Amino acid sequence: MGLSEHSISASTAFAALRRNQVDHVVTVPDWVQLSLHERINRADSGIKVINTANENQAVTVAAGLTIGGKRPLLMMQNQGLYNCFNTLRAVCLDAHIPMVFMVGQFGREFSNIGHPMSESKRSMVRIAEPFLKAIDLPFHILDSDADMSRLDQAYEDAERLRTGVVLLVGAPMAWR
Amino acid sequence: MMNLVQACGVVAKGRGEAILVATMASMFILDRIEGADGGATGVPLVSGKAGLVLGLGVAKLKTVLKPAHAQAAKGSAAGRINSVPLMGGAACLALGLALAQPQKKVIVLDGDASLLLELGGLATVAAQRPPNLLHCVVHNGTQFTGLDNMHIPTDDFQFAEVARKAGYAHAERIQDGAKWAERFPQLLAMQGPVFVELMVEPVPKQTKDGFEQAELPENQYTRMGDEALALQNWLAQEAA
Repeated sequence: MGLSEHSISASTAFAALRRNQVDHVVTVPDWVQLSLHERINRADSGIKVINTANENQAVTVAAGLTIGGKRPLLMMQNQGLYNCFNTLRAVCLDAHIPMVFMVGQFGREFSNIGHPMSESKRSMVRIAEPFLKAIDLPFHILDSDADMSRLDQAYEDAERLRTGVVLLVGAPMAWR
Repeated sequence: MMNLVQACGVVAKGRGEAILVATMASMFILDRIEGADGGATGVPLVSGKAGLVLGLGVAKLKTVLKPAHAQAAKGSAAGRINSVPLMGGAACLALGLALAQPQKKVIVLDGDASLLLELGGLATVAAQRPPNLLHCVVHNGTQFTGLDNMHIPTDDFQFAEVARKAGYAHAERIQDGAKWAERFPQLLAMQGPVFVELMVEPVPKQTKDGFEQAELPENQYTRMGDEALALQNWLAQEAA
């Protein structure tokens, strides 16, 4: 299978955000999710975008929004996820504030797409799943349009379990 | 310079229904002075080391004379959440709250070392221009103040100046406790984001040869979650 079979379209992803009543996206932008960023950044998206200077700030802004009654989504890349580990520990693991992350697998070789991420030659891709397992954070992999229903599950799980849930975006999103 | 009881006491006495986000040093003082009504009622705000001792002494006396009130006040007063243990998290936690609750004032009592850890947060806050946010930083030049007073990385960082250049609507530095008490309601009423740098004397250190460090209480590791839930419920009740 080629890249196109593993590319989630921005329109499908955006529809999933709207279906889940996401009202804020808090982000340090991600190369893998560029087409979705572009869709959300449009004036008519109905979603407020908050760009932060780093991913720690993204997590704490999202925590404040959640406590204040809003429904944010965090968007970042794998390097950003590693960058904000201590904040994620405090907010999601210890303070049990629910939130959902969409994390792009930046750096993934196209030749690895369709194969296990654990076989990637690049550490930033290879360690994502073991990292999330090690910190006991639920996660799902998004590999195709059909997988976007996992966003619904992620919000349900995050709120039920009062934790963070990560969706790993495996391939560059399609510009359609 | 003002002392830490003055810095925190002015906020406790004057915040009304505002949401308050605090860092560790301020949390310890607020825990001791807030009392059952959350307002630091009766706690004198007097300058100098004598004022610090007097303020904490009166707060302690209140707990002895009114143990039921002290028990009720255990933990944070309504509307307060502490970014603990999460150094650097306070300002953007407050930003999220301010954006989610635009009809409410949000005050953050940040620490100097904490803000330095996430200095880029000034740009993140300023870019959103939350009109209801008052960002205070306790500038006492120390970490673990009152315990060992380790120095922060720089002696005279100009926090207010940096906040102004980052794009805060207003920023100023205040040295004197009486001036802080006078300016607080004015700053809180201003269109934000407003930044105020409070020049605060370090609390005298306790450590010396032979000193034994006590274990930190368990709730220091769990209270942020409890406070998040309590704050969520408090906001929901206010909205109902």
